[in-house]
Amino acid sequence: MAEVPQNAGYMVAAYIATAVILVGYALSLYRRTTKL
Amino acid sequence: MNLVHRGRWITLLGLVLLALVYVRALAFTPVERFQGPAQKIFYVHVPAAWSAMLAMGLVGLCSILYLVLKDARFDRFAAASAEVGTAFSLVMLTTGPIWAKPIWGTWWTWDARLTLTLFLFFLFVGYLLLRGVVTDAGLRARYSAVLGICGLLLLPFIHLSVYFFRTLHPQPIVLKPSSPSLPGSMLATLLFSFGVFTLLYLGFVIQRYALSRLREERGGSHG
Repeated sequence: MAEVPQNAGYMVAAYIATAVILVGYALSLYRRTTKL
Repeated sequence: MNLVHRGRWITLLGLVLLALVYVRALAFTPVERFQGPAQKIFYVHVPAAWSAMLAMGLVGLCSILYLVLKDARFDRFAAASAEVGTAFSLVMLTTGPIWAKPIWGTWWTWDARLTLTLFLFFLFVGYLLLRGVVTDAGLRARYSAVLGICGLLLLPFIHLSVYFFRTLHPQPIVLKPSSPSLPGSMLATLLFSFGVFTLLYLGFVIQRYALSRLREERGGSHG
């Protein structure tokens, strides 16, 4: 049986990118609403 | 509790639940034998695509309602949804190539599905730029409503592009006429993630809508 590919680094990169974009956008909204 | 605070709490809950999606995907969902751990990008990529399409769908619907009813609340909601949709389409366009590289051997290919999703992102950006440059509120609302309706018309083409054109992108495995073709544990993680991304969309859009309203109340333009 073929071995499972070892590509966890891509998964980690995608999960980090997702968190950075979503948390970054949440912070941007927080900053803009508190500045008003 | 006012709208801003309500949106913040929903967003905070969404982010906490996103962490639980990560835990569930990493620790309690099996590794796919042929794609390996990279397949788990699926649990953020597909829900992000769903949220981006939900956002554009609501931009389009609110644009139609604005043109028919001339109610500024629909224009304000469309603007909020477009900004939030830009964030989700950025997640989709970032995670997609990261998944594609180990599986397809390339970061990007100019096939119908990928090109149309990139076009969706440019539509979001174009919509926001348009709102930024037109100063007259009535004109801005009308012009952006037309662009929003174009975005709505694009959505069925994106969804069906994998059936109409030869593409590397897989066909839908959940949103299709037959039942989902996924093992139960993977489907449960995916549905959980769909719920969390929808909740995040809701939290973001409530805050963004409230922000526009606050700006208007203070005499500025909601943009």
